[in-house]
Amino acid sequence: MKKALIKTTLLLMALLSLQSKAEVVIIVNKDNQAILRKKEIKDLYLGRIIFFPNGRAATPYNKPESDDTRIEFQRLYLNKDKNEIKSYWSKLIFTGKGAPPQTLLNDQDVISMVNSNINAIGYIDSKSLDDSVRTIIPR
Amino acid sequence: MIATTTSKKLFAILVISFLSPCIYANDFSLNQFFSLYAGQVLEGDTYAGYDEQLSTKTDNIYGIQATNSFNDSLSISGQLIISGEEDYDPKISWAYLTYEVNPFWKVRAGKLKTSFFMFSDIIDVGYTYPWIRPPIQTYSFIRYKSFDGIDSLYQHTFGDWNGLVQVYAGRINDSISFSYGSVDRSVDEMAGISWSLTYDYTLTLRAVIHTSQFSTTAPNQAVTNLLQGLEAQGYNDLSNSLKIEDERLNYYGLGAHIDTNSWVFISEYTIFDLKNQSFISDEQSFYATLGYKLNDLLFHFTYDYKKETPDTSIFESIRDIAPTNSQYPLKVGTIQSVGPENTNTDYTLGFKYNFASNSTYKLEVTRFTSHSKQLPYLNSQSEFEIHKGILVSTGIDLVF
Repeated sequence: MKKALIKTTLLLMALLSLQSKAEVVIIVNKDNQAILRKKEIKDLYLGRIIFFPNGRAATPYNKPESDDTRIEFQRLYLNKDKNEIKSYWSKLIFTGKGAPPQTLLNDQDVISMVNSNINAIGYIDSKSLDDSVRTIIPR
Repeated sequence: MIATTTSKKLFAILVISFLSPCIYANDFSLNQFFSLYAGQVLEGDTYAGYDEQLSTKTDNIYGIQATNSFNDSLSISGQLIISGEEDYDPKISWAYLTYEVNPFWKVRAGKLKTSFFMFSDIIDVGYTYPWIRPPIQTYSFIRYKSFDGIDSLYQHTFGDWNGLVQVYAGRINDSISFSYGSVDRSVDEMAGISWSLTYDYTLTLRAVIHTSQFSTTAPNQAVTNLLQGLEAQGYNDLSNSLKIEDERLNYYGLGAHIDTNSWVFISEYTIFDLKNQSFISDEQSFYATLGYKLNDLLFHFTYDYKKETPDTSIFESIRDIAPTNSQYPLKVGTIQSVGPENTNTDYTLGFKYNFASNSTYKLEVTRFTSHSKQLPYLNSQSEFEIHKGILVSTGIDLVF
C-alpha cells in the first residue's frame, strides 16, 4: 500500500517535470533528406553557414525571443541563453556583418513555412508535430 | 572640413537611398541603439571625460543604422550616431557598399570603422560588451574611429574552429580641435590585416597588424613654439626633421575572449610603435577582464595598463645644436615638447544586469592612477607627478 503510494507519487512527479519543459523537435521539408550534426545546427542558427551539408541553400527560422521552445532550443543546440544570443547578434548587426534568422510567430507558421519552402529549417514543440514535415535528429 | 563635407554627402546618399521607394522592394532593415550614462569623479582629477561635478553627457549616444539589399550580392549600409562626446552633432559613423563575392567572402568599400581592437568596430554599442566603456588605457589609442577605403572579410572553417580574416586599406583626412586651436591630421596610407579564430562560439583569439603613414600639424602648443624657435635661430633642417610629417606608425595587437555559460575572460595586448624620431610617444597597453555570470547578472573586474615612452633621442639632437646657456629657451621647450614618461594603471569593478533581453543596466567604480616621470635632461630633476581618483559611473544600454 505504502509502496504503491510512493510509486504513484514518483510517477506523477516525473510526468509533471516532463510537461513543464517544452520538448523541441527540429523540422525540415519532407523532400529535404539532409542529415545534420549538432555543430551544423549551431552554425546555421548563428549565421555561420547558409547551406545544408548536401549543398542545398538553408534558411533557418526562429520563434519569438521569449518563446519557451526557442529558449529550450537555444539551450540545447546553441548552448547559449537569451541574453547571450541577443548580444551575439547585436555584435554582428551593428558591425554590418550579419543578420539573425527571421522570426515566425508560432509552431503552425513554422510548419507551413517548412511545408512550402524546401530550403526552410525550423523547430517546434513536439506537441505540434504532424506528419507533413520531416524531423531531424542531429547526430 | 573635408571630413564634414564627406559626412554630409554620405548622409545625403543614405537618406536618398533609404527613402527612395523604387529600391525599397527587396530587403531593408533598420536597427537602433542607445546608451544613457551618468558619472562623477568622487575624489581626484578628470578621467574619461568626467570630473568632480556629476555629468550626464560624456557617454550618451544614440545610433540608427539601415541596410538595404539590392540583390543577393549587393547591399548598402550606413550608421548615423548622435553622441554627447560630439556635442550631439549627428555624425556618420560608417557607410559602405557591400559586395558578397560568395557566402564566405565579402568586400566592402566606403567609410569603414577601424578595427584596431576586438571591440573597436562595436565601441558605440555599449549593449554588446560588459563594461560601460572598453578599458580606457588601451582603447584611448582609437584616435581614428573610421577611415575611407576598402576591406575584405573572409570566413573559413577547420573542424570546430571558425576563422575570419579582415584585410583593409585606405586613408583618413580630418581635423580635431584642441583648446589652442584646430589640428589637421591625415593618414595618407594605412593598411592592415586581422585574423580571428573562434572555437565553438566560446573562445576567440585575435591578432592584428596595422601600418600607416601619417602627418599632423603640431600636436600641441609646446611643439609649435619649439619648431618656430628652431627656425628663428636658423635650425631649419632640424625643425623640418622634427615635424610630424610622413611618420611611419606600426601597430600590433593580440586578443583573447572566452565566454562560457558562467565565466567571461577578455584580454588584449597592444604595441604602438613610431619608426622615426618623433614628439609622439610609443605606447604599450594591456588589459584583462574577468567576469562571472549569475543568471541575468554579470560581475566583472578589470586591470588596465598603459605605458607611454617618449623619444629621448630628441634631447641629443637639441643638445648638439644648443650647447650653451644662451639657447636655454630651446632646452626648456624641448623638455615640454618631448613630455614625460607616463604609466597609467586603472582597476575597475562593476556589474551588468540584463533587465530585459535588449537592455542592460551597468554600474562601475574605477580607481585610476597615472605616474608621470619627467625624463632627466641637462640639470633638470626627475619628477613624479600623480594623477589619480575614483570614478563612479552608471547607466543603461539598449538595442532595438
